[in-house]
Amino acid sequence: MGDLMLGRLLESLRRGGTESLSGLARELGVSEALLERMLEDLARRGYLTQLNNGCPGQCARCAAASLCSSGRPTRAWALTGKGSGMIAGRTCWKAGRIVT
Amino acid sequence: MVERVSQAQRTITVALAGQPNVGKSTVFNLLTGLSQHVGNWPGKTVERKTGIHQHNGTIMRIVDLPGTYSLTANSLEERIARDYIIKERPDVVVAVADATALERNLYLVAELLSLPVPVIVALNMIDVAEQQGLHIEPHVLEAALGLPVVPMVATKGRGLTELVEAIARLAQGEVAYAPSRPRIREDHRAVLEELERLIADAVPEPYPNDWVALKLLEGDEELTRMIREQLAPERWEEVHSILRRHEDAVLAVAGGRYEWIGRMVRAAVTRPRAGQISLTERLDRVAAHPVWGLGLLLGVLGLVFFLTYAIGSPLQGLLEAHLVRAGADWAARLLAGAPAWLVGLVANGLIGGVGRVLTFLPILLVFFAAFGFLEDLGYMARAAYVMDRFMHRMGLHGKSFLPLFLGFGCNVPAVMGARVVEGERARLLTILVAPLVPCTARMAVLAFLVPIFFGRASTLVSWGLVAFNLLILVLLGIGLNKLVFRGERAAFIMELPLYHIPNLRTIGLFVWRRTAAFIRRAGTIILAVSVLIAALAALPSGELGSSYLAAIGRFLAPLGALMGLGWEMMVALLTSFVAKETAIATLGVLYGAGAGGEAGLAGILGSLLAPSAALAFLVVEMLFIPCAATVATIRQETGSWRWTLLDVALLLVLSLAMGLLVYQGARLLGWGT
Repeated sequence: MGDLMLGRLLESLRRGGTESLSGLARELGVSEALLERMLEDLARRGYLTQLNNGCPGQCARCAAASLCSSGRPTRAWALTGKGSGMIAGRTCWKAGRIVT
Repeated sequence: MVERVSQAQRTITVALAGQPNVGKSTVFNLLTGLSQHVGNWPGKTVERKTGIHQHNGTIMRIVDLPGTYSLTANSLEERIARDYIIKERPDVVVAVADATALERNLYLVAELLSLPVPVIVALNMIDVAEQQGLHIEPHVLEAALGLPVVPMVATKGRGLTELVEAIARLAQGEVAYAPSRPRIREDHRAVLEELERLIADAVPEPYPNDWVALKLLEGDEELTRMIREQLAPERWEEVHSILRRHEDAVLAVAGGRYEWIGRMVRAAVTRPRAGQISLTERLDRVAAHPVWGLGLLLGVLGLVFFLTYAIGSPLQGLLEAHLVRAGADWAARLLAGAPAWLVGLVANGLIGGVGRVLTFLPILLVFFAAFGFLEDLGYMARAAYVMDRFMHRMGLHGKSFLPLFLGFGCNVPAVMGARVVEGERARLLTILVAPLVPCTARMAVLAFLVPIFFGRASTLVSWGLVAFNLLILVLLGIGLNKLVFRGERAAFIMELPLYHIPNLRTIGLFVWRRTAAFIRRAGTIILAVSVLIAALAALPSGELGSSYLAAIGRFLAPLGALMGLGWEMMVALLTSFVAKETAIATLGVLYGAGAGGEAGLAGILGSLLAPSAALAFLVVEMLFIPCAATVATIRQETGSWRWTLLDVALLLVLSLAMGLLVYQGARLLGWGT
């Protein structure tokens, strides 16, 4: 049980594709608030990156800024190269191979 | 006398820790009142507040630590807070937590518990939590955490006495303090112990040995540097190789904290699953379902088109009849006697071109209102989610198109969305296909032209055209995935917001912003192009047939003939590069504002084009070179003219080839020739 959390979270991203925050929270058995905190943490550590988190310094110059900023922003996170590397590393480790 | 007082009085130091905006300052002000001292942390520009609270002969020196989310060395505030706790060792640390976001706040508590100081949790805003339906049992949380928990409403001063008493009792050792600390994942415990052993002699006072080892595993740069300086080189090599072999230990350390938080919250918090949340869950069983969700999306898209045609199109016809033609007549009367080129410019360029584009307004208003409604309802996020999952199932295991769909409505943000895609090649290819995401300007052209040719089948045809665009996007995506991404997988997590009853004001603002952008475009770029086209159509002789524009058009005519399109339509296509709506403005200029009698431009186009040719035109328009703004963005994002021009050429060939196929295919089927 001590595993897991972040490892399981990254593990569940192995399938690829898009997961909903609520679906993933249910799968991991945690509240959405805790999952959000975990995603932010993983993003801070470079395993995920937050999409549409504004483009710092870009929006001011962008003609389409008003189109992006209206309505309700949807937050989304994507797995980074570092994140997929970690998943791949875990796979090797699990298969008993030597990780270099 | 003085001596007796000083003997009876005991001074303890209490540090207040907590995230920003949890009411920490309010608690500090309540405790210290007027006895505050504001300065700076030594050598730093961060404000340092201290003050005094007296309780039953105990002087409590209160230190307000900077607001922090954790105790890594990420920010100056976090470094100040942890350095203070480690070096000054306050008698008690009060962790002020926001009860409405306990999960977030407990992370800091988890970090504090690995430091050698007694901790009290001040559970602030407990009233707001109750209002939100969150029920927290302070006693259960206290038992689970193994440390004092004091519920508070700091803004009303509630819980302050209890907090002060808890501090005093804890400082005097009157309460049992046996906190349940988060533990590192089992498979890393041996590594942690090994590290502790290796660094044992090198950890300088007053740093706790186990904490430093934990932070090394977490990859803390500041402490790594410190230990490297302290250790003998060969010992450091040993430590370093362990750290390299266990790079994922950071997940084990943080993961242990999350597991701990999850346990604490499960024990002490009950969350009623009623109302909005369960409604959202029920609705998403359909809206976010892999099959039903896709069906619903197609249905919703059809409904939006149906509404646009049922309400917007008749109003557009009325505006055209009463504004454009009446305006042209009025201008002709007003300018009677003026040179022919001026009359042409005003009647055809201004009124026929820009005026006609402005008659789109009712169509766009209905369209924008429908999308604003869906967005505010919370449905658009589901649409992107369902579409993205569909693409994934279609074999798009490569970089997902989610960033593109989040930019749905305009290609400029869609191109920018590709930034998130890692890898130069992958990002480039995502940018190159981004213009295939249908934008609202193209939808507007669609909404104007489709009813002219397809009457009652308009909704179906529009729906089919958008689906065709997406199909091309999927096919290209699959091809690119095979060729370039080689099955590499991308993963996304997206938040599906709770559904809520749409707010009229929000929808109004949404519609207004987009409409204003459209009007600005009509007043600037479309106006300029209309005038240019009117001038080219009138020069040099005043006769359209022998004008410069006709010469350009004739150059394009052979290509147009393959798709059943006259040179006027080809010129319209060409000008749509400037902005998609310009295609209609150009047709307006070319066929004149007053032309076509009662039926207007629609009447002319309806009589000029066979449905098969019209369909070909629409297919080309939907897949054609994106507008100038998008091309400029592609140039900016790729940083290369070569790729930008290649993309333009690719889309040009693709769109014309598809137009040709559709026209010839329709003729072969004997449909609408």
